[in-house]
Amino acid sequence: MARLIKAVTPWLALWLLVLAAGSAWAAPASAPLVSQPQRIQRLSDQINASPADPALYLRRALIYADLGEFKRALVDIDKAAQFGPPEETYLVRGMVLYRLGQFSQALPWLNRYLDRHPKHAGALHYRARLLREQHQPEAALRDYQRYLAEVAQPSPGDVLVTAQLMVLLADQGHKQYPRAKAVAFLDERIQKFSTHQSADQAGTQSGNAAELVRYALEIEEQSCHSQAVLQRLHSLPASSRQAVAWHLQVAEQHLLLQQAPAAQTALTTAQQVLQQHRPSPARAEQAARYAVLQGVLASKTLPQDRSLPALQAFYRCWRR
Amino acid sequence: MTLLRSVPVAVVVGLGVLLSACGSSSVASVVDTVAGQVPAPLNNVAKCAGTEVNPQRLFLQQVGPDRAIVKWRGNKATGGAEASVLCFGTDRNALPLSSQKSATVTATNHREVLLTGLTPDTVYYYSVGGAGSALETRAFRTAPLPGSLPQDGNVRMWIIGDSGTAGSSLDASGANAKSVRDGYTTWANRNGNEAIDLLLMLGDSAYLDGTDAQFQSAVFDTYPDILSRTGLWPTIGNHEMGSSGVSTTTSTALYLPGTGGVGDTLPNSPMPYLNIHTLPTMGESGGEPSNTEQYYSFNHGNVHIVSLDSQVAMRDSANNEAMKRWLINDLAANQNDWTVVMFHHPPYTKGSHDSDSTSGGINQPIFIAREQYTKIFEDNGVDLVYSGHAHLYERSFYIKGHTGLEATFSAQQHAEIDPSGTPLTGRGAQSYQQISPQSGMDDKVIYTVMGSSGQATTTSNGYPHNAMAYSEVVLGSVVLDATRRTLTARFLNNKGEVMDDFVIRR
Repeated sequence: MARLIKAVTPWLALWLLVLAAGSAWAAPASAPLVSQPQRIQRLSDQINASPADPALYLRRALIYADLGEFKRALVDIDKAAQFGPPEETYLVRGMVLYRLGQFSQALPWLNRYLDRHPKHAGALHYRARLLREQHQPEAALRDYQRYLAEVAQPSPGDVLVTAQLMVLLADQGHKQYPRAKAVAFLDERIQKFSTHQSADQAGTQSGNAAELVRYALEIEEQSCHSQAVLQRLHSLPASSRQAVAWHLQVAEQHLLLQQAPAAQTALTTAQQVLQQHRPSPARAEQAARYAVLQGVLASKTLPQDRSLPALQAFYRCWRR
Repeated sequence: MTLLRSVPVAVVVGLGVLLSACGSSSVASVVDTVAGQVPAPLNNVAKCAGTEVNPQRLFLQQVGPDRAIVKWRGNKATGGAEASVLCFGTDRNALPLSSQKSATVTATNHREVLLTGLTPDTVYYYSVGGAGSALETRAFRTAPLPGSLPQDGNVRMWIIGDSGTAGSSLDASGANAKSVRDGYTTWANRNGNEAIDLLLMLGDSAYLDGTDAQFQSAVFDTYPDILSRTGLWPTIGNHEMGSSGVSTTTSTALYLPGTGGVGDTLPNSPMPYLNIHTLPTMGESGGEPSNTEQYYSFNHGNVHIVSLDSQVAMRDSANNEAMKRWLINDLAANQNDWTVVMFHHPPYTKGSHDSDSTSGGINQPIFIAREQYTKIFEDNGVDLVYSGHAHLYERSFYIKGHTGLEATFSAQQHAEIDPSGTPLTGRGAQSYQQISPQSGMDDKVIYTVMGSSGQATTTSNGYPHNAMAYSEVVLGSVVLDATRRTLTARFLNNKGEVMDDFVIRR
């Protein structure tokens, strides 16, 4: 993956190998641990030998942050700023403050850093997360999009959150972000994921970006696009198509399209698959869903009790 | 160590291509392309004629019913060239020339050969370098078909966690990890010597930083005879991030190459763990495609195994959400007899890490796992969860619904209990039923911390955790056996003695 980053300032790379993250949390000092203190000790020894090396302070700062010792981390960042260019400590300071949950203090440091290095993937990713946490979806989306432009092989979660932000903005009435844009974005990414090239593996693997397909499907489902939902359901990998939930979803869409025979077929298969599984809470929920759909098929009306969470989209789209 | 099952002479593969090949170095062999057919003599097949190479590291990835990856690097012979080809077959003494495959070279200079079209539950021999016969240790058995059992009726998993002390300042000689390995061998030799089908590594496989060099000493130099015969399936620990890495990086794409001789460069950048392993991303070995090597699942016969990323993905809410969605869908599609999940940070522990600790950084995934994942496991038929991180062995009762701190655990409320209200231990007459008699559903899980395969260290206030049926600070490993009707786990100390065991029945 190293080769996947397009633009890396060499001096920064030295310092910023380590891009600590994590949800924001309160941070009392952690209990002594066995192996992390050895890393601290090793860096402390190196610092004793080279007390003016800013990179060593930054590394130790990040390990302190990892241990929840944020005060010590910030002291080390100050030291790094004292012995090297202060501007090269901006990102680490921003990250540590982010991890402390001090979002508003962290943001200016990340901004300053990105002013100098606008294509730095790590900084973009950090600021995107921060802005999302701060409920600034449009700004977060811009940073996620810039981040995705810088990395050839993002994680599925980063693609998913980008699409989710698009949908959120669409739901908030931002006309420049119609839901169709999120679907088109997902389709583009599904295509990229379907031929996967790992940086440190030989060969190319082909497959299915199942979770992205599922999210595209969800968006279509919320818009009551039953034909599109069905198409996407059938594009899921074979293993997914064996699941009870898949057959139930197929049945729902056929019911919405008033295709009773196809709905019955899907429900029959769902029941058969259910019977092959051992009972579990998830199966019990699916059995309840099956029973509701079978009832709708028989009566052509929705039940009085419409509380089952998994069927909310179905209820909303019924006879719409 | 003799880890391979004895192989019936007639159980050899049918590579159709073998039949058509011919050459000067002919051998007699047998072939049995389809179960039940009478083996026919195979004459005049050209053997590979290369030279065996003893790589510095050699390991197997994604060993499935019809595929496997052989991966290696280096040559132990001083000045020796790296092997660029591999030959394989089912007759150890006659690897056919037609099987020869060229290795592709990865960015970190590993050689990798993907073998496809293999026959399920069959022993294959291979030669790195393309010799005509294989060394005794160069062989593996393909997985049975999904849902099926291997010929001996049992899938055996060897599970080690936090094993990576060998060669580090924690254990320069590697005596600890080697004693755990040898403890397993001692036990296996006394108990039928059944081969290991899967090696599961629970993270922190190479201290202190999981660098490429540390992987060499802690993994490849410590378990060479196991790794050349057994598929390796790891999960990411908090020490798997490289010498400049800190354990809470959110995305592996953020690991950048170092310059100036101080920061990480290849092979340690962007992340040694991912550089070294070739893990399924597209459901290559069963399970749902995850589209990332950080978390994945696979089937081995009647066992479904999931490896979650509690170190990187779990710490980023967006990636954590994606992993949860994937997990739920993966488990929903799973119909295997048994389901095992592994990840590094244990939801419940009172070892060298404390699952009641409020320290944010290093232990945050403990809380995420307990509060966000345990219900997914319970709802979707997971039987066992294995973690490391804390350097001891802890094994819970058969539990559900416990998402709080230790003080909120109640055996009556959370554990499988006997009529008197005492939690069942899972041992002997107190074995567990997969479908709980109490609820009539498969809704309980056993959580095990197996973090003492390289060091056994300390405990936290409140040890032992109330959810645990057994806890002990001693070096060891776990052997897990899955048959059609029973799932049996044994904790072995480094002398090969069984310290804890339990059975789930179905």
